[in-house]
Amino acid sequence: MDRRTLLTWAAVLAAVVVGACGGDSPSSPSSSAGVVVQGVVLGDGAAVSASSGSPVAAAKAGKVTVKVDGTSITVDVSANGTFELKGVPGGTFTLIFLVDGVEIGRVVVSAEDGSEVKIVVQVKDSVLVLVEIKVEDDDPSPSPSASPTACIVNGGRVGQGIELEGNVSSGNASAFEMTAAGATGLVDVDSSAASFRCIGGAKTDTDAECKASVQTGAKVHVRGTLRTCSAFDAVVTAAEVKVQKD
Amino acid sequence: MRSGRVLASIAALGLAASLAGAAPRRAAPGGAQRPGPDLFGGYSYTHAGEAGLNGWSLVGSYPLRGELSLVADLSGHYGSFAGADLGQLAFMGGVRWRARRGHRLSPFAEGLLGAARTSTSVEVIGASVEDADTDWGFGFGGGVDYRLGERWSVRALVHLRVLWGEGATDEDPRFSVGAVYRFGP
Repeated sequence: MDRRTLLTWAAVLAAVVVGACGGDSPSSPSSSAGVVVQGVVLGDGAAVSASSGSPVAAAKAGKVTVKVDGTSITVDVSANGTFELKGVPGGTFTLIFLVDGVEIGRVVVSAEDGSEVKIVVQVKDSVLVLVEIKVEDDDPSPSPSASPTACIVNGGRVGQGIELEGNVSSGNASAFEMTAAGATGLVDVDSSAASFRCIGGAKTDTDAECKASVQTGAKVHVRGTLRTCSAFDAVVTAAEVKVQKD
Repeated sequence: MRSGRVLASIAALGLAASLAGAAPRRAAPGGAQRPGPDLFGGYSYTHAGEAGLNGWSLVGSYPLRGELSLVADLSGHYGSFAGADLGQLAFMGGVRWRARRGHRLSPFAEGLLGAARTSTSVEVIGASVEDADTDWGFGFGGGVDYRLGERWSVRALVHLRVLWGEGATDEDPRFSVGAVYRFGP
């Protein structure tokens, strides 16, 4: 084969590769600074199962677009549901999801520059459902600002101190689940190393009696550290548990 | 899902091996390749949407007339993105035009039509959220075969696959390398 023919074919293949790689670039600046947001949008027909069964056919609602509120950063979600935003300014920012130009939901995220946000959402009946969100920081140690605001404990910051007041829904003095004011779901409390104190009502003298009163329905005040928090659950390591006695 | 990928890969390789073993092994005069059906199997990579996926590719071709062949292209690509597992199974058929058949280095170009089924799953606190969608589209590209012997060649293949989803169009590059076995006289 002569050199001219080979060069022609090399040029054709190069054109295919270059054309392909230029097709899906998001309109955001491709800067290494800032936050990278990677996401997947599931369609209307997504199935939820306890075990992995056969997926059902999905019907995505239309053209899905993701915008960063207050910036010009925007990207169209690809046909397979994936999207990526680069150069999002660190701090707290809001992702706006639109279907055919109509806003269907927002997700507020807190992430530092250099971190990577991974988010999975579902468009269900033209409403946005947050399935999962993770913030991965360059710094492996827990960082308060790397905690997503999609946290069932309102205002909760992973790694920081927290105080909760509510009722025990299950468990015992070693570990229990509780409802809490300002939380949209049950909070898991690891109280194995906590001190217990009973307040109000009849005087309870012994520590054992106070611990024994941690039962379903008991009113408790927990002071400790928020270890993990997501849109579905939260874990608090308690330093002190006060049990309200009536 | 992972075991499914392995089984699919084994099945693809097994099919290729059994077809290769069943074929006659008669030498062509002068060592040059005559037109004949061929089967390609190998590694494949695609950039689907924003996700880089790895997998396998199985492509068969049957000569029509002159330098034209019919092509059937089956591929599976898998990977994860943003915490979700993605899988894409695609089947496309079309026409290939080959330049300078019979030479050691033989380039070709092809155009294909077909569909890709993408499945997505994410595990959240013990439950699995799953989604699947079929997108129609077309692909075009080309490659080159380097002849190793009477029947075996190695192939590098580059495609651009265009898929129309609901409200979006993906232009996904794909790269495959592997072995080709030529059947027939």
